[in-house]
Amino acid sequence: MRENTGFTVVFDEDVIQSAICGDHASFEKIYNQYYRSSLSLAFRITGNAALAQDITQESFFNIFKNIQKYKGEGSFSGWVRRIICNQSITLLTKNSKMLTDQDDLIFNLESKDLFETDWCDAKIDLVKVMKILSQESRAVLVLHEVEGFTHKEIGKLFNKSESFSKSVLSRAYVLLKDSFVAIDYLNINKSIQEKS
Amino acid sequence: MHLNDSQLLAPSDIEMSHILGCDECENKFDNRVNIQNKLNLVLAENSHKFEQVSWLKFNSELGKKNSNNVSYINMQSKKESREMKKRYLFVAIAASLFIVFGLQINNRSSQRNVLNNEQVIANLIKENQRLVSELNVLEGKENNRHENKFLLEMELTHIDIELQKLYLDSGNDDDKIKLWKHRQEVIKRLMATNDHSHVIRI
Repeated sequence: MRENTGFTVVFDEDVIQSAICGDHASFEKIYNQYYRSSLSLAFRITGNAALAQDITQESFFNIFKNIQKYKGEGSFSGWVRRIICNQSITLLTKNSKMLTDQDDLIFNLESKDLFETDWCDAKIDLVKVMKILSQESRAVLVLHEVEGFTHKEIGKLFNKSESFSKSVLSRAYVLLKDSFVAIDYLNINKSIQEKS
Repeated sequence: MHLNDSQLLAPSDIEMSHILGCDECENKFDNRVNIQNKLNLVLAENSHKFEQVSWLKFNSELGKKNSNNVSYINMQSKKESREMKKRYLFVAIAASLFIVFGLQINNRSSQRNVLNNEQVIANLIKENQRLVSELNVLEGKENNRHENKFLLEMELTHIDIELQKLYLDSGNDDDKIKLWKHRQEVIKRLMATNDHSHVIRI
């Protein structure tokens, strides 16, 4: 089940063309239709409400400033969505340490035990556990697993290789799994102690 | 040859046909899809409630931005950029080289530290599990009372709560390592009391 983001709404060609010509009424239609969905997208990627608002505002400035660069290749909503993702990654990476391509090699991509079980226990708060991830890891996880971006596209967004995205995603999953296993273990101990 | 985790995360067409014909990989892939679905569901349910910034307000910000000539592109106009580049070229090259080499060393060591910490934590969890199992084996043998036993059990409960809090609040690895080690010590001390009538079982 996925949230209806509003990006599925398609505008008439007239609205897009008028916006390209600088028509503010068309800007308003685009803004009102996509603003909330853009905020949700930026929030999913960053996990930070204030940052998501900054990203969305800056993205819409860019969208209206560069709207003539939209050449009709692919959907307009896809173009808007990509700008939001780009802006999110730009702001996220601005002040944080990034993995280098060389560091990608450190992580073992050949492991085979990540999905032996369905370790994502519904009783444990996944949103809280996700806080263990770095902002980059969260962004890669959300872009790949929720937004449907490919490793190649994510690598491009981060100005990195495809293997960077693969490595960060695997590492994010390993961290989530370890946290779930640890919390589960502690919960079992707690309930046994309570019973005894 | 079964698929690895990375292939299960983004299978190609060929890998997908392998999944459909291999029970082991299909089972793992089902688990992977279930986890992905939960992630989707949870993130959709936890959308933040944002206040809509009205078009009028946004439009006025947009107007200010344009009229004050402080847009990103204007601030970085080609002319200014060229002048800046000329002026600071040599200083920038020297500074960049210094920063790049410095950061590379720093980044590599910090990434290695993160990986080391994960390994340390995983080992500590295993060691804790092993000790508790040993403790359970000892259960039923001597049952001498020890005055510290109650306090030690209380301490263990307290550590478990702290650990759980750390994981849920994404605490740092150093604190986790400290607590897992502390937990290990308390279990050893509990074992030394030879009294485990209320000992935890895994």
